[in-house]
Amino acid sequence: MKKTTDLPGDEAEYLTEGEIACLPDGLFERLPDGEKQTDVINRPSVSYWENARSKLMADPLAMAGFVVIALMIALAVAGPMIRPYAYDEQNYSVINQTPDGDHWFGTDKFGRDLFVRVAYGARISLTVGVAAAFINMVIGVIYGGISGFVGGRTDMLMMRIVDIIMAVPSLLYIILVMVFLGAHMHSIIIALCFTYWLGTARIVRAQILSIKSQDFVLAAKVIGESDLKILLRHLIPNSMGPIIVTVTFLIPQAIFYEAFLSFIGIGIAVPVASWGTLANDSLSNMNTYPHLMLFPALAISITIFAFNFIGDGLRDALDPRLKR
Amino acid sequence: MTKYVLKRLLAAAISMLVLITATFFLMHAVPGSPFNPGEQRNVPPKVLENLRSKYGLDLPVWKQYLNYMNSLSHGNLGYSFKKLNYTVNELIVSGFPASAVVGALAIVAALAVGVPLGITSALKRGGWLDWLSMILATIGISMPIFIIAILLMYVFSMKLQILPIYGYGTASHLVIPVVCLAFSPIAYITRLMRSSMLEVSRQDYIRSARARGVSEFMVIAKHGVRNSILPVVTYIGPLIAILLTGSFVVERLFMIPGLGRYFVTAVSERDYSVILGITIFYGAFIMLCTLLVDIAYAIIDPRVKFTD
Amino acid sequence: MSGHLLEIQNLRTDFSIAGGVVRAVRGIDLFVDKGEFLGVVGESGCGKSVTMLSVMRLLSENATVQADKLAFDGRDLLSQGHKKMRRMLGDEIGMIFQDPMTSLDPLYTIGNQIMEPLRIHRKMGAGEARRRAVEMLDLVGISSPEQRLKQYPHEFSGGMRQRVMIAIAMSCNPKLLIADEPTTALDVTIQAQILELMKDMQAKFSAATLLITHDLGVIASTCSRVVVMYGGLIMESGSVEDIFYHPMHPYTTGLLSSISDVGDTGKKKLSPIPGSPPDLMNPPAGCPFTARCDSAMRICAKARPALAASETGVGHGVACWLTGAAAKGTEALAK
Repeated sequence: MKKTTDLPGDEAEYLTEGEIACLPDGLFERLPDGEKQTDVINRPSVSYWENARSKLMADPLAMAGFVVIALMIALAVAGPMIRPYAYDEQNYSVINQTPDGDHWFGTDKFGRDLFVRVAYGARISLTVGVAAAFINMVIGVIYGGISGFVGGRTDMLMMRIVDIIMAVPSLLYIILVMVFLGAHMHSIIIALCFTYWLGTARIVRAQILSIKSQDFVLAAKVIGESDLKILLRHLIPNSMGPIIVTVTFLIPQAIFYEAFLSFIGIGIAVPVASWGTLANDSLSNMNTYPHLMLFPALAISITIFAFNFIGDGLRDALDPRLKR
Repeated sequence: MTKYVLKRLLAAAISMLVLITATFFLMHAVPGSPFNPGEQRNVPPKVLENLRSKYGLDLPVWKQYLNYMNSLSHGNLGYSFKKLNYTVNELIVSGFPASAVVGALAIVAALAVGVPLGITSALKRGGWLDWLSMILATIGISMPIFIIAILLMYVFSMKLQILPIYGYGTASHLVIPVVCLAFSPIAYITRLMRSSMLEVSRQDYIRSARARGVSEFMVIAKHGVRNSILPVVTYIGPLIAILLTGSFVVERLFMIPGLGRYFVTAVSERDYSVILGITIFYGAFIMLCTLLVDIAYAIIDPRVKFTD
Repeated sequence: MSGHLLEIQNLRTDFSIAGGVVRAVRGIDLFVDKGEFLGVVGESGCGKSVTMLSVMRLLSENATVQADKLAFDGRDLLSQGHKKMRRMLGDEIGMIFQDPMTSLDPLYTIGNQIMEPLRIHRKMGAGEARRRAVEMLDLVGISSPEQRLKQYPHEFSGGMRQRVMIAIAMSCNPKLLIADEPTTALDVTIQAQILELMKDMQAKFSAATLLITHDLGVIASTCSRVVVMYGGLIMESGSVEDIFYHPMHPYTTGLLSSISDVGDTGKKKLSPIPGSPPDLMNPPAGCPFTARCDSAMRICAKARPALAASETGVGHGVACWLTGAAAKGTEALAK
């Protein structure tokens, strides 16, 4: 059989007969075991969280998201302080100004400084987003944790309740609660708490159920650890990854709902400046003074973008199902 | 099949009952009633008294609840408290068609653009279309609908002046609202279809279809698309709820005489009977749509058994 | 040697993946004769399935396939376009895959899928295709085929589905049937039935069969000729007699001594081959088995031995420095 195969860029893989004949005898001695090229596994062992962190750090979009959110927080905290205007301070001599040195983002129809109002809006949006996400995480973890951990009839009943609430679009509940509580920031947070934990609860329950059936939990039971200890030491920490990912995605949704409700006029009421109210306010003069729309719109979009990027990054980093 | 539908209808009825009851008591727990002397200063107290008894508001709450449930069982949602002489049923009948037209067009647009775009992105992974759809999806998922709406309105109606700013009646009035409503669903469906198509194309049955000589086009069209469209079908249920959110913005912004606008107006005017009535209608409508979508899913996927 | 039904010369298949290039098949010569039953055996990852998928062009886009010669039934496959190749699949070449649970499209009836090749290749009408489909289902031993035709894959058991796969593969009366681990995913009792069916079908249709497996037992009970693969290369090939009774390659010997025999009641000790197959992203320079070979020599790590004829039997070839002419001196390597 002829065997001369030169792959491009490869050395010849087979020797010709002539070459074989000239091989030194030493080559046909036994190869000691030590010289055998065996596979070495030399990947350093990395913990779940270390691995997640390095993955997250390597994700440029997620890192950009973190930077944007840091800037937004800085704007929310320091923005209203570094400018000599209050968010509701009216000044009829400077109405509808375009951006300049005195008013960085210009002024609205009452002469209120738009930069300060946008910064104030950042406070509201970030507060609503983080508070709603946090409260919902707590409710969801407790509810889903109990449901998954106790199991049986309790689990079935608890999940039926979730199904019933979930069948109705959450927006309807949110609007009803807004009607009931009136147009305030805390109403929005409370309204979001009515339905937002449902998704978290389902995910936590699914996580708990799948982890519960794994052998290390059985091992913990065998060595006599109490149920509570198993829940706190094994089940909750091991479902932390997906919980964090879910909650991260709750933040931009909450921010969206605040802006949305304020925009259609049933969220936060004027003169309080939320990004949604600012956008709504600028509608009537949008053709003449587009900058009044531009800045709040940019602020909302950039913030939601940033949180979504962080969420995507966290999901890639934390969700073991996606790990290769 | 019948058993499955009945079971689902029963579950939906329970959800509806919860929604109606919660809404009813929430609306009645709101401090102040529409015909309180405090709220209507220029109406003589005697008239208010009459109005209250006309609407049955002087009865104890539980009796009002029973009355309401009774009239509801006859399909009667009561009178509007603000638009006097209008029943809630009349409002729904006058508002729903416009909302339905815009919403249905948006669903059609979302599927007609999202599904092919997702398939092409998956087949030409890393190509320019894939990148474009990725960028579109990121924008569509992150940018709130009212900002997309304002942007489109500003560019196409105010600056370019090729489309009417607002109104309802002609086809050109529908373009921007439908695009706005469909934008985020297109983004979502594209990504969903793409990842599902990629997943399906790795399946053994795709390879065995190729191995029995099915042409590449038919492999994709017959085996690939039908399998990968299943997640998109499940998304149509939530999509209808998302369109509801969008309709509040779009109908308000573009002055479309739809149900969403009536609802938002009712909320800001605190027209409780209208809020209650439209909420019930929305709830029932969406649950019905979800049920229909689930049945459609089962028709596409024979593995779904109508047993549970 | 133009009489071969399928002839492969120096086939190489690479996969480009995130971390580099996997050299899954690194130069393989293989042939299948008309009507014969050939077995290809090797551990998972040795390239046996990839070899077949390469020939049939059923690999994903990240694969590159090169060969000096690929011919089927006298036709050159290398110059064949994708479309022409696809026209041969399911018609002249039938294939069966490992997992019958996932090899059928869950959304279409069994009948639809059996009729597919008939309608494509034989241009049959619906009625004719249905009749043939019923006939085929009956032939592979599925009872009440008329009713079964209207059912969906999830209504069939694993063994039944593999029968359906065989029915699909044989429906157009192919010249070659390629079966890629057809029994691996099945229960042992079902395995025997499926192998029996395959032998049956081969006798009936006189199609050549190429059976890919990691199970020497399966080979012994069905094949007439065997090819042993390891690390993307052929280690040894020959008749079942040669391979089972006169194995020349240390890897073949290792494979044989690591299978258990029901007859032995614990007297014979199983001797597994130590270590694991080489990483084909970084294939070793010499013989791929060097690292696990008890009798490895210095040259084994340096240069790859060619597949050369062994004197034990006609058509018995071994790729090993121990048996190659070179080990003993300068005898000719010609086959």
